[in-house]
Amino acid sequence: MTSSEPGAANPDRWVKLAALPPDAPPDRVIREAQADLTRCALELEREFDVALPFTVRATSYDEDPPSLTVTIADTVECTITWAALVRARDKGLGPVDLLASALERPWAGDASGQERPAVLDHTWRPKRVGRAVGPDEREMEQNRAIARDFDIIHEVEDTLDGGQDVMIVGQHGSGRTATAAVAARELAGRGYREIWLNLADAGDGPESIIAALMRIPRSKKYLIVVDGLQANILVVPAIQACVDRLRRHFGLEIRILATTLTSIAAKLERGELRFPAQLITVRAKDLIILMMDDEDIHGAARDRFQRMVGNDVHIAAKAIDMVADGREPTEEALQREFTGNTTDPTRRAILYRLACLGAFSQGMPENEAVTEFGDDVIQALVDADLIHRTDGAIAIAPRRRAGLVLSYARAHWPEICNGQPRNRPEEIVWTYLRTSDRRIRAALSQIDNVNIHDDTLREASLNLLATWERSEDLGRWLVRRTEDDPTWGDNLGSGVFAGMALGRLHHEVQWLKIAKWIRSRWRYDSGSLPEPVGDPTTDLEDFRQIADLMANEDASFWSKTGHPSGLAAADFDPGKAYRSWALGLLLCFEGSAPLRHRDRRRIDQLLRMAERAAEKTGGYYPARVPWVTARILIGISVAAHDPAEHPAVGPACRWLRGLVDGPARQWRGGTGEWNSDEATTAMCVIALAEADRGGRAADVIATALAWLRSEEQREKWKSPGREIALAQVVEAFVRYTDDPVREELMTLIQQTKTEWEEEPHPDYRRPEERLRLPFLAAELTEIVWRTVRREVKLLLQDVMAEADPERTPPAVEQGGRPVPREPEPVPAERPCGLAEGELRRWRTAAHRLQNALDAEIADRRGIDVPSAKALLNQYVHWQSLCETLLGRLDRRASRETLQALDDLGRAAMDVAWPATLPYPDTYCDEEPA
Amino acid sequence: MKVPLPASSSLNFLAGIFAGAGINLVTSVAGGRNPNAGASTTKIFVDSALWVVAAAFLTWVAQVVQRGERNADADVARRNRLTEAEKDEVRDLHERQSWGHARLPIALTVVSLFVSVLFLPGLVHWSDLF
Repeated sequence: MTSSEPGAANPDRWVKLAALPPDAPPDRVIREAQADLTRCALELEREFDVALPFTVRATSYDEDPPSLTVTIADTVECTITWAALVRARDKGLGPVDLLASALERPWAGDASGQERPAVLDHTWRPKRVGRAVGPDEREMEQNRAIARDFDIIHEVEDTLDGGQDVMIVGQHGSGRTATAAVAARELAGRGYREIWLNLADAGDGPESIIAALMRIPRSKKYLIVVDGLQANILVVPAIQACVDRLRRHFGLEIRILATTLTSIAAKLERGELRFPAQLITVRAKDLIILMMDDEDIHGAARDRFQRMVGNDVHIAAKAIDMVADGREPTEEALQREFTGNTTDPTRRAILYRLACLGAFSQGMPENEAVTEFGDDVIQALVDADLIHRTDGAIAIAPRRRAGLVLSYARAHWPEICNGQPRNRPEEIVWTYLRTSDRRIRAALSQIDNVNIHDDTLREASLNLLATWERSEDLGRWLVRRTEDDPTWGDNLGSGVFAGMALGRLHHEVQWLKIAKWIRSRWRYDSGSLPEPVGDPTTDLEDFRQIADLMANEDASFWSKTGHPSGLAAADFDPGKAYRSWALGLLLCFEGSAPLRHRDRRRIDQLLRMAERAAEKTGGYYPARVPWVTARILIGISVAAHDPAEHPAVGPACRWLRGLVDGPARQWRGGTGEWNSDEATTAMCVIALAEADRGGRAADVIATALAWLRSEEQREKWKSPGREIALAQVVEAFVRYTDDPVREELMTLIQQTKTEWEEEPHPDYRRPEERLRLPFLAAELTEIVWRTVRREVKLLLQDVMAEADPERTPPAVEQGGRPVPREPEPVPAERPCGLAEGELRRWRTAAHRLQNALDAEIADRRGIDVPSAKALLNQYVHWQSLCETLLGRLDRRASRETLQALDDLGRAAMDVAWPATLPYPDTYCDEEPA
Repeated sequence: MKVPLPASSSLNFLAGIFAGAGINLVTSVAGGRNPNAGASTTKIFVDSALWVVAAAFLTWVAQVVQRGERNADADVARRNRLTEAEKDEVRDLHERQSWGHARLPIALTVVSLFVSVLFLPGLVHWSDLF
């Protein structure tokens, strides 16, 4: 594998482009960039033919914007505008990385029907491209010491050579990476060129593959090793798509070798992600036995060895080294090995920090570590083999080793872990995690791989995990529905809320589908309110319904005095209100777009329109329905850089503040049943809190929240059928108060989860029915996310306690949060067995089986034919078996029960039986594997 | 050993043939003097009557067999979860049962057929026998 030689012209740097002043005109930028790229191509091709060569084909100065076109491998063209070139230079992305990013833009067919990536223009946000660097010689030595099972290695090689991709799965510390590394080296001998991605590095992804291909010599075959899928599962579809394109368009022969945890592989099979690969399992126990055989460890020593090493091959390898040196491998000896018996405080600090992160299989980005501690110390630790460097990050791995270092540190390094809150493990981890949503997600999804015992994890934390899983389920449901119908029934509200939830959960592909539809369906470049392109969407129906409800409300309550807002139902214009509502929705949608797809131009158009659309009072049409104004305000606060600066915000907030009415000073919905007073109040609270940061609304907000908290109101919004109100209120509480909302959150989840697991039967007479589910989905993801952020620290504490059993629980030191002193009444259940949704599927299938068996038996009663009689006996026998199994079918069902039911179903119903029923990862009556 | 038994339609067809034979005999007499000298008119009338009677009995058999088929159809149609093998067996069962019920009319048919064949003019020379 080639790397950049320091002396020669470095293909990774801009020379002429970097020398340009910041305000250089576009055509000079293009010219210098072209020169740099051409030089770079020549440099790369100097010693050998690269796998993906490129040439600068054309530059267009006249087009707007000026851009240049690069042809990759004489097959595909990429166009790059001058703005993108400037961005790349400013962000420190070299020529090759720029081209790799250009090739990874979303592909589509162009005018001539050829497929090519989209133009790389000013909307592109440069992302660091990780280097695809594999293990070096020293790491390979360690890998070879671990991966001793040559049967598996040969199996991997043969399968890859035979044309199939391979995924190596196993538990923590079972030697997956080592096996992959050794297999890759063997295959290198057979003519495969190796490209190594480590997904623990956030920069490693499809761009890294392309950048690597642009630098390495051409070969007949390539092997891409993707190590640690569990660290960044979201990038897997992008990698698959990229490899697919490389195979199809460039004719490269590529095989993929992935490694991940067994539980992740099972989730991949069950979930939406498809990774067509042969699964090969590695087991730590087998490798450890091989190690002990090779080193001649037998008898009592073998038992001791096994007990200490447990299920971790890396620790076993270390212990073997110690044995070879003549030392006795005990736990304390190992700990001293792993910490190098160091006394230097900086080293100790680094080791402690990495040990805390290592308990979550997280590492620290190398540049952060170097900035904080200095390069020499880090390098010294790496050389001493105390920390582990991979591709941009340093870590102590695997988890067991981190745990050993952590407990040693706590026992022997008092100055580091002096009990100060700042130095507690969970604080360290939280500081690291909270910098990025992605990191939190990665850590949380790994937590259920931790061995969790009953008494350590509090019920609160288990609930947190359950709600987290729920929101993941929700994400999958949203993805499925969006794939079926990105227009969500041509309903703007549904599409917007679904899109917001999808964006929050980082499902960008589906978000983009919805965005494409919304952006083509609405125009807002001129006029005072957005216009639908073509027919109005189905939301208009809702507003017509609202008009009817308003007429009812007027007739029942306000026949004498007229509605207090001054807008009578007779004067209500549903079309105008609909477009006003659309303005708020569009602002929310575009403002909360994922960063990559955020379109500043559209946002500006909408913000300017919001200025124009305001009425003289400051509010928006209709004055009678404050939640339209609230929605627009929320949209402005999401979309604008500084909402307080927006001219419409001040008057709108003032108007909204002045609207409070009624003895409790709440906001009235104005539409009778549609959007109750509670939901309207909650929405107005959110709008004011977000938009009016000046704090003038504090009183109004406080009173409103107090009203919502009151007993009488609590009863109202807990009743079934009022989930929308409940969701809105819970969101308000989660955002602006410290009130515990867990109970309400569980209620919300409970009451709605049946809805999206079954086919929806929309009852359009119920208000807001059309956008009910997507709205609830958006609210739930938001609420769960905020709750998780609030409570994840408690969760971390619990997990840390698990990793280091000697520590005392820090609950006493926490202060502020009340700690339950009395013992928990019921022991928290282990997260084992079937989840709710899975159990439901099993039960449904079992009931169908029962019905089928009953029908078969009924059809055969009274026939005297011998074959029928034989079958009748068979079915009667199956019927009694089915009843027995159904009786045993609950969350804690054993493997035998589920397997027997599955077999019975298949035998009795053949193809009508569901092909794949969800089996749990861990059974409640079995030890976690 | 499965002997395929005739269906009711075939039996009906056969009955038609028998009736046709009988009526042919009658019309041959009614048309003019019988060229066959040994046959008396009475005998021919009796013979043709016997043929028709045989046909009638065969129709009875056919009706019984048909009832069996209809029953089998109804049974099979009612139970839509039966396998093909079971359906065949059910039909066979009903078929055998109906042929069991048809024993009497079959016997009568055979007897009348036998006698009518005997009485065929020119077949048996009764004058020689008695």
